[in-house]
Amino acid sequence: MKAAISLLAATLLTACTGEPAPLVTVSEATVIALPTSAAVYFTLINSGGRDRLLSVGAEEVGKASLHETSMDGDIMRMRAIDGGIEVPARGRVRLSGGGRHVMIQDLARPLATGSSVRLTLRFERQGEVAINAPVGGPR
Amino acid sequence: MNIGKIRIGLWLLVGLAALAGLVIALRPMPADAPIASSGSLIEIGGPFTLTGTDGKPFSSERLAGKPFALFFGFTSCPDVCPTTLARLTRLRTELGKSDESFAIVLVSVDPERDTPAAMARYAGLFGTPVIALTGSAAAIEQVKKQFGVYSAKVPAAGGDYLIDHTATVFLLDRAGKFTATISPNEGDDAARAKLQRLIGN
Repeated sequence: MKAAISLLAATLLTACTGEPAPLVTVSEATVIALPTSAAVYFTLINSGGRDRLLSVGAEEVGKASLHETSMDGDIMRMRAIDGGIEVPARGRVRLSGGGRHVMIQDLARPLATGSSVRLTLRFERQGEVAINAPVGGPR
Repeated sequence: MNIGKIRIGLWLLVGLAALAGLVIALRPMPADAPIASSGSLIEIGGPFTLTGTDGKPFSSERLAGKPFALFFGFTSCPDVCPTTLARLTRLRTELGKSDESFAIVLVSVDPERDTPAAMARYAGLFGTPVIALTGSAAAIEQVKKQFGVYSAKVPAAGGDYLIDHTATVFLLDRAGKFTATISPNEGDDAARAKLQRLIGN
């Protein structure tokens, strides 16, 4: 039933915007935990129309935001990503170390290796997608 | 004015320019002109005193006798800093030598938040000995200067801040002499080769 409603919603969305509905799945999610902060990496696989990851929430454990690390010569710079991350139609976006990632700050408690963190990914078109990401140590 | 006069005028200009060039080229060089003076090379490294995870002063003399890999970071940096540290510990294991073959030294660029206790918790994550040093803002500034390291606070969401910083790993031999760097952009093979050279055969 739920699937049928989703399909209907997707069809309606396509009908209204003329653009196919996005169908984004999240894979290879992993949390790298430090005592007071954590980084989250994952891959977004979109088998539908374009979408945009607007924000990520990790309300149960801390304050999450989209960040990008970049190298400027030998200097590592870290900036908040404004405006989200575009997920192209039938495209794939990888968030990984040394690049775009989710940063969780102000951890309420240290995250234990082997536990998991509930994350809510908010997309412009697809809406919210909840995932459980396993916690690992730095690597 | 006819074309001929213009042409003569132009040739005169060319001649003048050539003469000026010759004068500059033949000007005697001052005897003390610094072309390449070894004294002007910036020395990387040198002795320092910071604070260890026990809260006590940590002198670089304690590193003598063993090569070490030193880099700068901060414990609330979840992305590149732990990756660099994890890579060094992994390469040390891969080289098949003991944890004693070279020391891994992390110097905080965040003296405000990185207390000795925070450094101890952080270093403990890697399951292998890591010397984690912090210190007063002035002491850290001094060590940054010795290694030519840049760092600057950048504001983050909710009044927090992050720190842009030099991500180079500095390799120093058992006498504390700077020998090479490992850049984060370098592959594991190049990094492994440099570490191998550092620890000798």
